[in-house]
Amino acid sequence: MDTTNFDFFSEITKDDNYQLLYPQKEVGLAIVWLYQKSLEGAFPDMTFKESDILEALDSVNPSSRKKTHRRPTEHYNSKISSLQEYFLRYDEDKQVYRFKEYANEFCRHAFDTLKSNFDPTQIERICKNLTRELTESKNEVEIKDWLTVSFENFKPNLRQQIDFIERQIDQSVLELRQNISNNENAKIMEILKEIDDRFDKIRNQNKELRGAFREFDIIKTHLDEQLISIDDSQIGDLIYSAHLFLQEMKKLLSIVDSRLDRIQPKVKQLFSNLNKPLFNSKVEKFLRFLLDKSQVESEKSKKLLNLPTDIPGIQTFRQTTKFTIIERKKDLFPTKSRRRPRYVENQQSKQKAFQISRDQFIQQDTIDVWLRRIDGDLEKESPVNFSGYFFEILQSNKNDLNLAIELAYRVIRGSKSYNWKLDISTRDNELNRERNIELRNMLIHRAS
Amino acid sequence: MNSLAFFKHSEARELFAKVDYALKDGVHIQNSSQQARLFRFIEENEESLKDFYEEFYGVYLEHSGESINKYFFIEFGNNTRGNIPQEHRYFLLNEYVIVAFMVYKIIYIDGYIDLSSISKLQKIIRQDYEDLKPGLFRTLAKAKREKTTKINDENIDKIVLDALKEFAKIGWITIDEDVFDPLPAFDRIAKIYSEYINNVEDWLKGNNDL
Repeated sequence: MDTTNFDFFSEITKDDNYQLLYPQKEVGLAIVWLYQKSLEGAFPDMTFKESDILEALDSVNPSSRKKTHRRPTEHYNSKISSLQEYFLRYDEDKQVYRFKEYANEFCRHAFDTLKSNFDPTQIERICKNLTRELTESKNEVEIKDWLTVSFENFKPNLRQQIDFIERQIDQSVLELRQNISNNENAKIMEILKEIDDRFDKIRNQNKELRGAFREFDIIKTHLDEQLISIDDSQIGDLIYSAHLFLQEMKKLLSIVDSRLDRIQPKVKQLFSNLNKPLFNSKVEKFLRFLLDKSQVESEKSKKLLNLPTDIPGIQTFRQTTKFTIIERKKDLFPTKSRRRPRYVENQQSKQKAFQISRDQFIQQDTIDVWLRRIDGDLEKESPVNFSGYFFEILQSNKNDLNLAIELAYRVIRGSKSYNWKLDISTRDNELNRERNIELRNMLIHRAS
Repeated sequence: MNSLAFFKHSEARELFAKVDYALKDGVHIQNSSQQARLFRFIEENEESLKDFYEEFYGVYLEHSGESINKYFFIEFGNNTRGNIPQEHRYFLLNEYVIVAFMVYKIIYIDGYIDLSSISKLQKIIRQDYEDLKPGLFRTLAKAKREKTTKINDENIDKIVLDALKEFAKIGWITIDEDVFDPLPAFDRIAKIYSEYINNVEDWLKGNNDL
């Protein structure tokens, strides 16, 4: 269906199109008369004679009831020939007429709208069918068909149901107001009760319809899944507008709900109010009294309204406008500048600190040299005895035990990275009596 | 004395201050979605709170309306021995009293149950009550004659809107942009003046003599 290039408005204004599609009241009613007859089974083979049409035209023509009435044959004849454009098909062989599809639609649409049959199960059934058809659509052509034919046809159906619910609310509200305004009606309480029940019923219908909508979510998910694999931008647009439509319908349903939420408590209140008609009329009298007897008083440039004498205003009370918070503002009191302590450098301590760290570096360097030496010696012969190195470093560094111990420590710790194997004897020890040092024998092997 | 028993309620720490401020601000509290917790707190501590307000403020915590339409409020009434200082007392503008009765009449007497738009209400008040028009224009628009002028219309619309805002503050209605919905406590307008309303015939007689 290509709606973009078709200018409906300019088309319908052409020639007599409008009149042919929407005939005058008397002609339209005659068509409805025939439609009704056919629904009642008067025309079993769905055909009717020209005399039937004339009878139809007569029946909706008030002047035909006068005794002096003469059938305006000429006039009727031209009507019938106009109707043949969209409404009637003439079978020349059998000399009978039947409805064209436009006539059927014309009547059916009005019929459904007025009959207002509420049928959520029908909606549910249609929704289920739609889902099934959609899931069975295998390719883009089928999906496009689904969107443009199946789904498109379903739309007015659904709208009609929601319209029906809304119209029921409107009618009930109007009916209620009319009944209240002709106050004499003694049956007002009964009517109110009936209308309240009707609102309950409408609410249930809305709920049922919502139930039927569950299928929508499935349809939506399916459409989304399809959308991923479809390149055709026209189908993309159609899916998008289907989404919008479903959203709109859901929104309409919730509007109906909130309308009912708003109306029903007021109906309940009306109940209790209408139970006391006397009180109501007194309220009205009192209001009129206020309106008539209140005085406007000018005070400077202001105009004040005073209620009639002895009628008090509504006194209530209110806390002081605001609770007073005394806040200490941050920028109100700038922080005092505080003396920053200065530290005098002590050159001696500084030198001392430097010396200590320098010594540590030197020590490390020395040990590195020794470690390399041990490693170099191991190249020539393996194993070597650590004791020799120990006492040698001790001697060469003014008997500084720290250095020698550090070396022992580094040998043990670094053995893996140098690829050494250590063999520490548990029995015989190297003794250096002179320094009173006893050292375990430790052989260093080069690991294979 | 029972007046401080509510201190021991499990939710007092959280809710009492809110309840107290609301009540003292003249708010009517009902079982509506926004006020449900405050409402329950008052209902569960009604006796003790009642004593509290009477004991220390000389005012009365009252309720009105049945079942789902029940609402609480503080009755200031006309009592003079209340401990509420003068500067905390506040009168609703008299124009608002008239607007309240108009709304009451339109919805609950004339049955405009579908009415929820503020602008529509303004229009109804301005246009639909020919017989009340002179009084409405005089009292609400402060106009000397009930001529429909743009200024008069605007004045009426403004008073109606201001009144509705005030009613929303004291828990008589809810407002959401152009939508207003009466709460059960809106009924209070008729209750406040019920004595006068019930004896309106006598009042009318008396005033005609003036």
